[in-house]
Amino acid sequence: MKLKNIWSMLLVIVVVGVLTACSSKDSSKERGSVKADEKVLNVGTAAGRSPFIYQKDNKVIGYDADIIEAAAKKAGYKVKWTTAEFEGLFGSLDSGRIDTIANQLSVTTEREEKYSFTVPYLYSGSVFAVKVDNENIKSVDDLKDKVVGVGLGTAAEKELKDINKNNDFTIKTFSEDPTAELKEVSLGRVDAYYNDQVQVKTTIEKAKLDDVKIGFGPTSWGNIAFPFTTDSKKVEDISKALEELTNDGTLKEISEKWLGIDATKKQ
Amino acid sequence: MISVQNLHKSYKDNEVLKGISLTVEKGQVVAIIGPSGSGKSTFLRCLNVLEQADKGQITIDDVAVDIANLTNKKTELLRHKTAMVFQNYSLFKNKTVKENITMPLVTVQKKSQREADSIAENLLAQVGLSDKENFYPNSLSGGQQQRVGIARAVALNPYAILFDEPTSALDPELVGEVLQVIQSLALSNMTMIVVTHEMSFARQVADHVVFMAEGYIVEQGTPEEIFNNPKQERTKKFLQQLSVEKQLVVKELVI
Amino acid sequence: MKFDFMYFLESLPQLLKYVYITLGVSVVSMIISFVISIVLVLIDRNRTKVLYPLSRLYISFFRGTPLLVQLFVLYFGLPQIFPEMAVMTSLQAALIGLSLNNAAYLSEILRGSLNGVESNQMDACLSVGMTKLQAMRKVIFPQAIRVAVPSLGNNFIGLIKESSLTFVLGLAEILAHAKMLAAESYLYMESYLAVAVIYWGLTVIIGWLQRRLEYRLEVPYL
Ligand SMILES: Nc1ncnc2c1ncn2[C@@H]1O[C@H](COP(=O)(O)OP(=O)(O)OP(=O)(O)O)[C@@H](O)[C@H]1O
Ligand SMILES: [Mg+2]
Repeated sequence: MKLKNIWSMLLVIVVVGVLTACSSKDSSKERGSVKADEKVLNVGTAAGRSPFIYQKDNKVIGYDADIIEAAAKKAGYKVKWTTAEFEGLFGSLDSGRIDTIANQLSVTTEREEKYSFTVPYLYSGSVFAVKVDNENIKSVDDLKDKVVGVGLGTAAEKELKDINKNNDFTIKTFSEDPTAELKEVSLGRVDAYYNDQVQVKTTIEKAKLDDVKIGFGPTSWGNIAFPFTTDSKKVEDISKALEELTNDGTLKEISEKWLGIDATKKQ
Repeated sequence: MISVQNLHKSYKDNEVLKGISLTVEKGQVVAIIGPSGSGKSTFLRCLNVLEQADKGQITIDDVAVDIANLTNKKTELLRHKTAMVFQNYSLFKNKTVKENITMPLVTVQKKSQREADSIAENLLAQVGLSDKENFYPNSLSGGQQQRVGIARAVALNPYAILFDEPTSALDPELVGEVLQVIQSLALSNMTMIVVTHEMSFARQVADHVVFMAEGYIVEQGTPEEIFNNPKQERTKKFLQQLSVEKQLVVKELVI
Repeated sequence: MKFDFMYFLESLPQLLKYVYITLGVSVVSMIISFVISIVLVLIDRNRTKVLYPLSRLYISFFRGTPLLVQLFVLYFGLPQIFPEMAVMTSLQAALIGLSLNNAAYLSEILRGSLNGVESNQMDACLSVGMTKLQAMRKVIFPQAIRVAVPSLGNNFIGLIKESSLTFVLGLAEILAHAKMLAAESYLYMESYLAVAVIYWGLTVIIGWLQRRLEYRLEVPYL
């Protein structure tokens, strides 16, 4: 008798579960129909890089968020946010679930082969972070025989590999958050860490990593832009809007608000 | 009437039943004796279709099947004609004593729970286990478990009950209580086939004794004929060996 | 660097708000995978033609490849081949992916426990005229479940933790929210510890329920 109750309870839960799944399917269909009329821009992000893009009170905010919202508004779109692990973003893009990614994505040659990028909305320069008392690492030459950390699968990793063509130093890759990565430096597990300058500056400040500083850099500049699939018709709308926003100074304003500098120019 | 014609059964290359033919009249008690490995259990299991024989005919009451074209339907019909009592009791471990008896009645025979309950209570009273109704098999002695096993078989109201060495897993002092229950069943005219090593019991209770060896029925007859005037050498040897073993046991006990 | 204990405390209720996602996804996946695993294990026991080798292949694939890869293929890969599948939401994909994956593990647990049930129990069922299916439902399965409960509990705890992988599909469960909380505040240690405490609390509760269930199933054997 009791076992029977458990079975019927399980059955009810399954039915409810399936119904929930089905109803959410229905609502996604609705969303689809809204998309057609209202011009929605589906934007994906990992929301894990303050101050560029992160979540607060369940809302996606930050520099990238303001930029894409502004551009979308100008082009007559409404932004719909999807948050997912970084590794899942390109899959979502490829399968058409999102239109673009707002996640400080660098334009690389490999990515350019596969996607159409908008005009850049930020120029990022990566820097080498070192221990605060380290006065020996001032240039690429000083890295000889040292260990340098970098984020796995990032554009910075590619840059670093290009810098290290002659295998002068050892590259160690990490798949963690910026704070944990910079702590590798203060813990002495790596001699330097290669990452975007604004990211490094903000992290040192916010996470109070007093024993880490910027050693040198940037040595080169990366273009940050929004990727779209090549068959997307929205890329031109957004690109055009971004250009207009650059010209009327909105982009500069947003940059100064979030980053404290005008990162829409190389500097 | 139970009628078995030329029943064969092999496990891989090992032919266990080599053409068994046997007739059991309604109400008759048949004892099957024979050495270990002679195929006695296999024979009972084939009658209950727990094992499917390779060929032969089996008729029980109004169900006649030829093994060669046994369908699922026929299997079911044939199986419902008999009930088994196992050597190791084989009670449903997750069911109480009472549920062991009522569950088949409700799930298989579609009786109402109330009817099943009253059948179970009746039978448990008959085997002297009314006070154990709500116990689980694990908390009963072997003799008590086997009495429940018998009650479960009787409750199904089958045409015949098949016993496979119902007492050989029991401590000697518990054998009596189980044999008593079987004996009272025999008196109530239940058709039974009993595989047993208890010769005195076979002699007392059986109407007919069958001696099996190496997959054949070597000899059959009344208890009188088999135990006092065996005709076949194989039978004589088996009975002699048994009595020698018995004497040895007795000697050991005396010393 | 100092541990911000206040922030740690504050993030607890913030994260607790999302426990229902983690728990809901895990419970529903557990139930669906349990149903699938029963089908798998029945196929296994009957050695059903055609289906049996397929079920072995299924189990081998889902146990032999990482869950993350399976989720990727399901959510991103298949819609590229079958565009109709793009209507699948991340919640549906998460439920399907976790269920399909977990069913492979569950069926092996159940298979083992079923093998542990004495063969005379099936004989007894058949001898009283029950069908194989009735026997499974009333006798064999309940006995197997008793043996299986500790492994099932383990499996469920594993499932709860593995459900965090579904963030790659965009299903923001509790660990995802912890990550985002950490990214916003730069207080990684505090956020991750808070989520660890919540996961731990969940498993303690599940462990307690599991022992109660074990005790109840143990009654016939005391
Ligand atoms: N499931 C099985 N698979 C293979 N061989 C079997 C199986 N069951 C029984 N046998 C073989 O069949 C033969 C007869 O076995 P069976 O159990 O019928 O003998 P028995 O007369 O009941 O013996 P005992 O008095 O020891 O119970 C034995 O050689 C045994 O090894
Ligand atoms: Mg035997």
